[in-house]
Amino acid sequence: MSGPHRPCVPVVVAVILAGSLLPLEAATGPAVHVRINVQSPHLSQQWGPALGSVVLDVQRAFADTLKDRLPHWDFDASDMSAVSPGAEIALQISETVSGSLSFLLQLRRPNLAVAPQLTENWLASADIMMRGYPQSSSAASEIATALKARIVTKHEIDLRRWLSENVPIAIGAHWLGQDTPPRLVLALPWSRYDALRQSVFLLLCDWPSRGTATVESIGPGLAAPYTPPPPDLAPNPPFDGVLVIAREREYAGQRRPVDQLGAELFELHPKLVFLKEYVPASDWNVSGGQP
Amino acid sequence: MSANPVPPLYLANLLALVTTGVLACGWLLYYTDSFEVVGGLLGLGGLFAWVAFVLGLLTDSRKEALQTLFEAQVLLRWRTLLMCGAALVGLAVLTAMSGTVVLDAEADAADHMVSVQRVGVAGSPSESRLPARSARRLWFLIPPGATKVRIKVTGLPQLETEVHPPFRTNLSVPSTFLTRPLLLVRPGPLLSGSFARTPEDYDLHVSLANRTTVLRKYGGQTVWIGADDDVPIPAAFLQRWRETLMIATALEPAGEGDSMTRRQAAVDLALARWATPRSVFADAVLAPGQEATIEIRYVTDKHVVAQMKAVVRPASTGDAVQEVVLE
Repeated sequence: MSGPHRPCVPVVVAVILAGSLLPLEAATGPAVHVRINVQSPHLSQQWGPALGSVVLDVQRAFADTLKDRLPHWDFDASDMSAVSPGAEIALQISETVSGSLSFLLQLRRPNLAVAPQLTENWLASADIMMRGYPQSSSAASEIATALKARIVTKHEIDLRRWLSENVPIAIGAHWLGQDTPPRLVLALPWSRYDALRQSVFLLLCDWPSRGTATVESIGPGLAAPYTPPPPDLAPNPPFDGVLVIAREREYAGQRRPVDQLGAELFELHPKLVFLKEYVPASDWNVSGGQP
Repeated sequence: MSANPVPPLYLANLLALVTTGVLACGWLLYYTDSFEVVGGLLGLGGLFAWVAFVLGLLTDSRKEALQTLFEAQVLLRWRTLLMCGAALVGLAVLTAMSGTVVLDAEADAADHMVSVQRVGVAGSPSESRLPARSARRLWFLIPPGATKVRIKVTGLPQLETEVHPPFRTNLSVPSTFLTRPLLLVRPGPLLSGSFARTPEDYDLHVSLANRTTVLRKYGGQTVWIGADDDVPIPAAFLQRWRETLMIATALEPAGEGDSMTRRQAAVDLALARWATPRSVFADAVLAPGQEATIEIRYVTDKHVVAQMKAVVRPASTGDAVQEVVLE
């Protein structure tokens, strides 16, 4: 599940499209769609007409679990019929020849031919022989519990890495003047994202007439006023966002420290904010300031 | 050397008495299990042993006097001949209306209870015991023509057979009872586990010959169609199921918290469910080509969880049980 930490342009476009559909309150990144697919004839027959509601309940519970463990991203379990335009966590419950049930988790994003996937056993045939298939009335909670233990807890690091590389946590950021060090404020409300105050971010930027570039930046532990771009996003009042300091730019495969770029740096228009490295409170630099 | 000539009436009565007695004993011997009792009584055994003892106390002269009296009052009277004739006619009529089913369990090592009822005749069935390695004659008084009787031997499927007077119908236990086709419905081990978890959620519906019956609270057991639930699952079936399950579970990759002991326990549990069958259409006589539809439905919304259609195959020797697996 690892790969170069550099969001690709088609993904960015799709993600922006997805993000534009979100309510304005969510200046944060687009939600990751959570989709459950049951590929088990036995479970389908067992649950019958309740299959749809079981799947929805599992999706919601799975999304809640993901949200609980990976709180910097949003997870959406509501729309299951349409093909997701953005990132998607697709879980398939499948049945083997012997009848055992397993989870197959695929992490999808547009224009990605091969999606990373995880496979975990859920119920062995011996389990089912002894306890039976989950009833429709209790299936959602049973599956959610199993997913929490066998997928989310066990593969939390992999999931976090994939999300960091593929799903922005915010749409929008702007420079705070052109001083040194170069500072930006992210469209991440401090009230919700203050835990990211010293994390490392990757900003995908438009560079007019050049294409796109990325800027790596790190939070000093401060907040600053963020002003949403007018006028089409109004009403959307300014709010305190997470402040970051740019430290490196990558363009056309070349990485350069920002202090070597001069005024060229400020030609970049940040669009998407990826969480490159989450720095937990236990690792914060004690000199990190308070807002 | 001179002798008193024996009167023809004396000879005729003696012959009539002997003939009547022999035929009556023969009738009892052929149609019933009572001859041992009756023969014992005639030999002054059993209940009549005291009679033999008392008669033994009589002097020879008294005995001769009684025999003389018997000759005078019985052997030298026309009425004796008439009564014997009447008895023979009665015996002939009775024979014409008698039929017997002989249950031959000489080759069977198990004791059984036998329940017999005439088909179409109201009333509770008569019950009797059929010890291991024995035979039993069940006599029926039958109006002219044949009659059909339903015989239930515990542990075996019911059997309907026709009884034609004045003949006997011989049935071997258990082989004759295992010659007609039977359906044995078995849910797969995984489905069985689900049904056993909450039996109150499942009903088993069986349709056969335009009749439908519902087995409530179905808990994943095997189900006989055409046999009672006291009919045990053939040992060969249980052995085959065990081997199949053991192989299937052994081939499955080991998971977390998995062990052979756990797998063995799961197999034992499934086999225990399958070894205690339930039954529908116990009295049905399945005909080759007949179709049975089996469905397991969820009680609350009636959706079909598993279903299967089975066409009854002709029963061959040792292959009367046709397994229907619901997966």
